[in-house]
Amino acid sequence: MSTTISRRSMLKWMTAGSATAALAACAMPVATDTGGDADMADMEDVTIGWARHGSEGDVPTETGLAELFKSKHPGVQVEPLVLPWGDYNTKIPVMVAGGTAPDTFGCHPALMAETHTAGGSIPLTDFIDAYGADLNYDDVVYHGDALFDGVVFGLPQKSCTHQLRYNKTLLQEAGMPLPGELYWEQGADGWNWNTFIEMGKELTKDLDGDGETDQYFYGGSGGTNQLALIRAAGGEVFDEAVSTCTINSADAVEGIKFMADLVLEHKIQPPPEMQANELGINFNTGRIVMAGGTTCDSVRDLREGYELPFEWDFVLVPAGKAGFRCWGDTDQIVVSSASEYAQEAFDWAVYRSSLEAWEEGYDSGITLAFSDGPTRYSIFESKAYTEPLGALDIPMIREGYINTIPNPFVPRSPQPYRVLFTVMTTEVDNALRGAKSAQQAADDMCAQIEEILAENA
Amino acid sequence: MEREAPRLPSLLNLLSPSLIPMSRSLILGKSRLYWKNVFEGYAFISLWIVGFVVFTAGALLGSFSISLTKWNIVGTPEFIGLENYQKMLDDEFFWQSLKVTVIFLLNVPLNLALGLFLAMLLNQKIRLIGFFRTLFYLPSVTAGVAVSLLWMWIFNPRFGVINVMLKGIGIKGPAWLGSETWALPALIVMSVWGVGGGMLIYLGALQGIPTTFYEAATLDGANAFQKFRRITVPMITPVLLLNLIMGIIGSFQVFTQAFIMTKGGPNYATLFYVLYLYQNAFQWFNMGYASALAWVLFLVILAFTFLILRTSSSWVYYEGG
Repeated sequence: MSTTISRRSMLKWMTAGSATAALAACAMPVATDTGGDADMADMEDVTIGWARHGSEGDVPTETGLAELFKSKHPGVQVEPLVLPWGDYNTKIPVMVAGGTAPDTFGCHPALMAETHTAGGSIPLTDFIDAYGADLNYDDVVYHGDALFDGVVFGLPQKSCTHQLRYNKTLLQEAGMPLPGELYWEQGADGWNWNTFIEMGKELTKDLDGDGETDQYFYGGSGGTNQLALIRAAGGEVFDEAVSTCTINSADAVEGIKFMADLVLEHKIQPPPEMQANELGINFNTGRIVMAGGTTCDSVRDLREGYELPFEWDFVLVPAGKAGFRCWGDTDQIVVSSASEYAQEAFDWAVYRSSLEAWEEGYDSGITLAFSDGPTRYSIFESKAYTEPLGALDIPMIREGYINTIPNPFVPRSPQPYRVLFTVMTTEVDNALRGAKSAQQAADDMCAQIEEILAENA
Repeated sequence: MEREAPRLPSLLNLLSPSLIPMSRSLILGKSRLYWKNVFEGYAFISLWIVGFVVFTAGALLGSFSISLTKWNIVGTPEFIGLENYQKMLDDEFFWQSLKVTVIFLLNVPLNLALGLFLAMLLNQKIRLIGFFRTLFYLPSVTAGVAVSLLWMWIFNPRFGVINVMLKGIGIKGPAWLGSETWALPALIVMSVWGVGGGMLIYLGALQGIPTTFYEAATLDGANAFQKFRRITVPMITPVLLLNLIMGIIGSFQVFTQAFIMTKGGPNYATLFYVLYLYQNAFQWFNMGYASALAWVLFLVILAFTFLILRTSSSWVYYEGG
């Protein structure tokens, strides 16, 4: 039997294939019917989508919490979607714009503002009022990130502060006081910019005598801790109306100069061009005594099998003349305006942000302390937090939340990522390299920020 | 006897050879068989055409329409006409990124020359030639991120191999990627790492040159340089043209090195055009402006390519016509 296909037959198939492909490509996306019929919803499970940024390790956490939630809300299935930070920040806005966002999703402050502006989330105040006293909204650590004109648009998923980590072993071996002790015993008198520099000079060392520094005191400040130091000097990026750049004020410049002096004058921080981390000079290798770290992520170094070969702890960024200032923020759980199941989505948000979820999760092997910072003051007292983080000074972590400026006006400014992570970091880097004076760097920062403000006026 | 077809515009020839028979038939009129062949030809490529129209041309046109809007992805696009294009004129970072990218084009002649040099070395009949060819080609197929990380080590001002070697001869090396002056030259030097791709194409071209040309030149008393200049270079000019165009296109699209190694710094010294475009699109969500930047890049590359192709008739030699 011949199996030869004639050219004509083949052409017919090719043409049919092309037409099918064209039709498939042009087809309009059809929304999945998740059971809009009320009667059917009573009978069948309701499935709600829940998205957050995170890593693969967060998937079992969310799946486990979804199962715990289902045991309390039979018929409501939560389908978690965990995306890496970069993907999350592009996919969620596109989904919000397209009206296909998950029923609930986590929003860091900038995404929260974008989503709110686009009408992608619904107000929750009525839901909260209807829920009653059980919700105990007063217990939430930061309210500001979720509030727009006094209306609540989110419940907290995770709250973080950006503090400093210190290597207790190195400090103790050198016979130095611990920054935590200085803070608790003397407050700003004991833990301030001057003591920071003095300790830095003691602990920045050439370990092998080759004339090069091998151990630095401070690893340097990222965008958020840069802002904390600027604030500790009494400076700020914008005025409260977010209409004028104020980062070239005398106070803010003092903060920038402090950062530059750590590198150029006191030499207790590696210069940016050294690529110290690439050389293995970092906090985890024990070659940096103090480095920035968030109270959500850095604590993962306490997990079994991931412990660092030395003792460490948190302390607030040292006080400037304006006192202690911390960067802190909350990822809020919002209910999508595209959701057909707003009540179920809100119920999930309530559970996901509750002390109950922390404790029930902990009892079933899910340790939120290693991924989510406390969203409520009551969590600081819970064994779900105190047991996994027992090696740390938990009241110090709590202090960070108290010292965080609650008004999130930087995230709600136009192009917050650009301001924080491009404009500010580039110009501070210029000051740290000695390429510009602190004042020049601050002036150039303001010139760029003013342009951004003008563009978005 | 078939009549000679009128000469078609050269651009049409260049862009789509498949259009030529169709255009001829429009002019001359053709038999049913001819039309059947045309139909069959297009039917065979129809899947590709559908893919191109939907996934490439559609996206291209879509990006152009977005470039006429102010759009932060989340909100509703606001039509602003040509404002995004106008904004570029006053945007110092646009000009900086264009300047950095144009300076980076210096890597193209460097790669062309070195690629040819290596190809000539590897065109010798020596032992282990296959091993050497593989060795020189390997870096060009190594993942960009891995190469970037490797070069960050090489350029490390303190322990990097370059500065250690310089220190050995009494020179204090610069901060390379941490220096406003040296960061871009460092990336140009690093680009040589990928010379293997062009080298392989040169090698193919060199091996395609008939040996009789060299034999005849030897008989005429030509020395090695004269043979290179009068035979080798003219014979490989089509490949030179290809490598030149691909090199320029590739240089305008540089992203990975800057994204991984310098983040556009220090002080925007390595702010490549595509990095700036990426920042606008996916970090700052200025999707309208980013789309406008993409279109300008497209036009710049098109202009460069067109110019080179226009001048190529005066320096590219095609054997047989």
